[in-house]
Amino acid sequence: MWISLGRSNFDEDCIKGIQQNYPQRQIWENKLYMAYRYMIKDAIYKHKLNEDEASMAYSDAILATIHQIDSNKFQQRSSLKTYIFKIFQFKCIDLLRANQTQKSGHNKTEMLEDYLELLPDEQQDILRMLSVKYEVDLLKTKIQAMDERCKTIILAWGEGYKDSEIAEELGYQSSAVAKTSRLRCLEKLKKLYHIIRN
Amino acid sequence: MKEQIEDYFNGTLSEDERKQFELELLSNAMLAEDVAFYLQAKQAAKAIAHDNLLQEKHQQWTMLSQKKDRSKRNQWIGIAASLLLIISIGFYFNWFQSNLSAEANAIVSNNLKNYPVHLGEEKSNLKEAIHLYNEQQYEESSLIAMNILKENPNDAEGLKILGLSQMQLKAYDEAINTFTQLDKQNELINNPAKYYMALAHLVRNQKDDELKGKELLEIVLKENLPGKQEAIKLLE
Repeated sequence: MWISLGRSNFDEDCIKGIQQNYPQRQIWENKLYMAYRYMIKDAIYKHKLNEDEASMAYSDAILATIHQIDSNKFQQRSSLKTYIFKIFQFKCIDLLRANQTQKSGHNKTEMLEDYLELLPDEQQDILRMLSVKYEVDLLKTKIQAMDERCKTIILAWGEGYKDSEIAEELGYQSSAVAKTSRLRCLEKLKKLYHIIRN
Repeated sequence: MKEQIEDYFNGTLSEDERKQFELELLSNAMLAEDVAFYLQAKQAAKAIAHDNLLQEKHQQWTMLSQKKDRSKRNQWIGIAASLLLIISIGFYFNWFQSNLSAEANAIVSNNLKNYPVHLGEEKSNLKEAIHLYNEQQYEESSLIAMNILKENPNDAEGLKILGLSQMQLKAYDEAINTFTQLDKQNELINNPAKYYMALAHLVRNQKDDELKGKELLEIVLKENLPGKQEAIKLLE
């Protein structure tokens, strides 16, 4: 009962719209963004962020919500407004922390933890310790500096494309060839990383 | 980079292969290093993909937002401009009209209150009517003028006194009718009918009265009729 009380027709339509294909999806993404953009002004006042920072954090919150809806992870236990408000608050707080510590990558640890959870505890500890050696921000810079072919294939992998899709899009003979090429590019990245570190 | 690493995290290894991999992680420092790098590289690639998508979407949404704000602002500016225009037009016409009407009213109230008495006036009724008019007893003057007109409906002086009395009584419709009748007196050398009619229209100040009044004043000027000097001032 309380679930239905928290949701509106807009929420229902928006969730359905975002789960459709383009251009319907884009229309509903835009509607979702426009619906609660007044939160930006509140955040500027509340968190003393500048307009660009607050606006970017809001876009990030909307993008995260869209991702949750798209992957059917949005639990619908609260209204979209409440959900977005919470995510936006977290993004703003993250931004404040990042401003204070002059560091980004606050949520990257969370992503790493998702993978580490697959391993037994002892292996998790080893990998947690070793992963500190590879700074995500520096790796990002190195990826951007790679040759176009490697950069494209690594970014496609980061966007979540499967090897079969990468093979088709980038013209590799098969998904196996795409996979081998991608792993070679990762080796290359590792070497580049060590060169800069040493 | 070992394919096995990716296969492990993709969940495509068999149970035995998975256990073997986990055991090897404890003893093989190179493999553990590779896994750590693989996971961090994946975070970096994902982060770039996310940053790119966020930039693209943010730009798109910001533009959309600005467009909507502009559209809303333009809508408000349009409404405000329209209101301002309506108010300005209304104010201008009201001011112009009331200004012209007030001037005409001042002429009627001040300049037309004394009707000249001509020496040797023979008609006693007319004398009485003029006297009453100059005494500002307009109802009485109009009654006597009507009596004069009963005897002679085209009596120019009777029509003038009646029309002016009606105008002073603010019976502008009747005054206009009377002056229209006076205007038909072609034998009159100096017929002030058009000038009086113009004043009556301007003072009445109803729809199209200003236009009609101006037209009549222009005829007064053009035809050099009585009231020309006042017409010049009013049209200025």
